[in-house]
Amino acid sequence: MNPLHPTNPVPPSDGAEERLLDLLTAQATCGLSPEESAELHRLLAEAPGEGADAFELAAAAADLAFIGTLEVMPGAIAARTLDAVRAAAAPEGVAAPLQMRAFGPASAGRSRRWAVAGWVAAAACLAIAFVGWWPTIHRPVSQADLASRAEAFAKSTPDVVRLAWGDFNDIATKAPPEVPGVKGEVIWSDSEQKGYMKLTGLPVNDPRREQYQLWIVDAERGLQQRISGAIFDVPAGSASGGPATVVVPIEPGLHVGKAQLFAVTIEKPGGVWVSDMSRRACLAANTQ
Amino acid sequence: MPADPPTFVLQRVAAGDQAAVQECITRYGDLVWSLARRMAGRDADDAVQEIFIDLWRSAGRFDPAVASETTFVAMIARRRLIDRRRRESRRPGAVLSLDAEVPVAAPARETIDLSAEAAAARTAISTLSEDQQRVLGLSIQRGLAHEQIARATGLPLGTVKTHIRRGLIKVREALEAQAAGQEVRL
Repeated sequence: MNPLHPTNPVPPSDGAEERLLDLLTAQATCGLSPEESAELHRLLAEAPGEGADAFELAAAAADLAFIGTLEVMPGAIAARTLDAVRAAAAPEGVAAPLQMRAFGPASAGRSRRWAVAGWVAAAACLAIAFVGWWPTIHRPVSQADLASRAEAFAKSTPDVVRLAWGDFNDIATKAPPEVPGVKGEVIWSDSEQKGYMKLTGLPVNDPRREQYQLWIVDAERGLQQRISGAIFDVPAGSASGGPATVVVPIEPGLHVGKAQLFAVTIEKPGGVWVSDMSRRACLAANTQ
Repeated sequence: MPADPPTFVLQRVAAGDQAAVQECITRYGDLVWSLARRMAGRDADDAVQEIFIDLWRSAGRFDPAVASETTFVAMIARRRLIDRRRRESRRPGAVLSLDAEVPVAAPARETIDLSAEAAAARTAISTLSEDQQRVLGLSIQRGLAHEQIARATGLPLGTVKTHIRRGLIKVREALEAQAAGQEVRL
């Protein structure tokens, strides 16, 4: 069967066929008025063998044949487009809840999935959006292994930056964070698009109630389009006599041109698509 | 045994795989952006968003037996861009000035084998007369209305329409032959 002509057409009258071809040509090249569009639908119904998209596909192929070079779509526009598709998906509820696994410390031995509910409403309501939330699914790795990997990564990656955590005070009011005094560092490479963070002093969390979320501010995307870099827990087992310490891989779902800021907030289980940054913990700035 | 996951990113988008939306933008963003810059000029940013939303809605209609994913994406993009252009042209005071919309130089990458269908189309177009190729190019690539092409070329409007139609039919036949796995004979 010819997919562009799925059945043998019932030949319409010569005049109708001419008109049909005229309309298909116009549709593929300069568009139709609502009246013409209705006429085309009627004529197509009378000539079921004529593929409705065949001329448009031909025009698309012809366009591709001579398109030459492609311009690179700017990252900020890609990010806005992603947000727009999500926003369009949200009200209709078509998109299934995102299934993901948090970047939880492996010493807890968990292999859980959290359905991310509520992003739909949040994305539509809040002005500040983030992008790139499709974390990789990880096999369990022990904290000791993660610490070793982080150090090996730091030593073997030429452009790695090591940034110390500080308090994430409110930008406007300078109010202190909910969790002050977190120590540790971010180990990050723009070229490798990944890194690790070590955190000491984050309270053990109950993942049924809340989780920690890492945000990355890309110099190219700007503050308003923060990229989610990880959602993670601090399990009870990580506090062996002293403050809890965890090592968490950072693997953002979208390309980070130049990581400028890393920030950890406390969010609802599964994280959020947009954050009001009201529950802050720590911040690391790349001033290089 | 679970079914194999869909191979094509549009099929995954249609199946509700949210990661596939991002992959779709990554894979086809440059193509859609390039088409939008050419056909929507300074409104390319909005146009790209509109196109990908439409792709998300239309992904279920993609059939790899009918067209390649690239050609399908280009078709949806062109459809939206043509609609936008028509809307713009109806706006009071709107002036369609294609020359004014030619984008400034921007980072570019070579297009390599965009689709086998594009190659088939190129072969088909090469068999058209010089006039037919010129008219088809003005229509497809420059997006000129048939009347504009008639004015620009001095050809009668009927001839312009015929050239475009014959060109598209030729390309369609080439695509049909390719879909059927036949050598393209022109």
